[in-house]
Amino acid sequence: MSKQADLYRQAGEQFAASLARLARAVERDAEKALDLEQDIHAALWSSLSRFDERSSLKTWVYRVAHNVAADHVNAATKRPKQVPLEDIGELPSPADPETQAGRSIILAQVQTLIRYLPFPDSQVMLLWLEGESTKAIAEVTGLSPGAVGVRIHRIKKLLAAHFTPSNNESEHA
Amino acid sequence: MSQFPIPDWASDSDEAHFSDPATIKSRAAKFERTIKRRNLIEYAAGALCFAGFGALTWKAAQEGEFVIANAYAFCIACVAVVLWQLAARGSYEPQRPEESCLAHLREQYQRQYEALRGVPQWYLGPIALGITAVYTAMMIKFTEVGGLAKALEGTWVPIAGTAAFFAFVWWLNWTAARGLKKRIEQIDALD
Repeated sequence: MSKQADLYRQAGEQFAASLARLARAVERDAEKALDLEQDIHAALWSSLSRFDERSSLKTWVYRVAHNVAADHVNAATKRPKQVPLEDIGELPSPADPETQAGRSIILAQVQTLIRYLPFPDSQVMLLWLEGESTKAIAEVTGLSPGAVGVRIHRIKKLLAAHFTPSNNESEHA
Repeated sequence: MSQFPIPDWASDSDEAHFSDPATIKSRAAKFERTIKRRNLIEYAAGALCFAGFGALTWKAAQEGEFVIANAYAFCIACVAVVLWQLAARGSYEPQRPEESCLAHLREQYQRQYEALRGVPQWYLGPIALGITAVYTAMMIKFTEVGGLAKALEGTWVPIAGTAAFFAFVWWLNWTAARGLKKRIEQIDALD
């Protein structure tokens, strides 16, 4: 097996689910999300021939995936008006089909919020949702750890204000 | 293993897997075919322009209107310059999506900004020169027939209309370029 194919297999084992979630979060249309996911795979496959181990495989994979997703969003003719994290007061309401598709309201709301956020706020939020550390997020995005920390703090504050136990209970009632 | 701050998030896409490399290669081939088709359409449009101005040049020369024929021939040269620039600027540039997100985004905006900022030089400029040559030739012809006042009377409306159209296109590009410049500055201001 070539080095490129081996790296691709490793990346697939470790990050396939994360990249699928990324595609679904930035693209609401299910078919287009699947298309985006395959575009990410294709870009990753090509890029891995240049993998030089100056960064970890995880950083490489996330950078390629987020950059392809950003290009996809930038090329879209229709997208919601973007609002930076510091200006968001309430979580945007998800579209009906998303909640009807069997996803939890929380998940649908988080995905909708991501679509409203500009870069690099949306990238920070997606990587934070994947459980990545401040340092790892800084490496992927190119922001300083301090700037990432500020954004994570805002995300946590926004989510905490919204997803209180009483809120969740009322949503399920 | 990462800890997911929102457990629901992790429950989505557990079954996901990477596309087979063979599928990816056929996808890349499809993308290349789309690019080739787009280039073909551009060349066909260029050929149509050459044919149109070529026919006008030939007709004017046949009628002994050599000033007008030269103006049309000059238009062909101007269209050739625009097509050459289109081919040079639209050529495939290898992308490096493995750069950090901010570096990648800045590069994309910078490339679009430079393309838009250059529109007056490589697109509007040559086309305007060609059209000016045709209008000048027409003015010379009309002046010979009915005098300068009569020539101005018949041509000022199309000249003003064309100038307004070019100014509008320039303004649109300038506005879009200015918006991109602002985004680049915002990226540079992030720490």
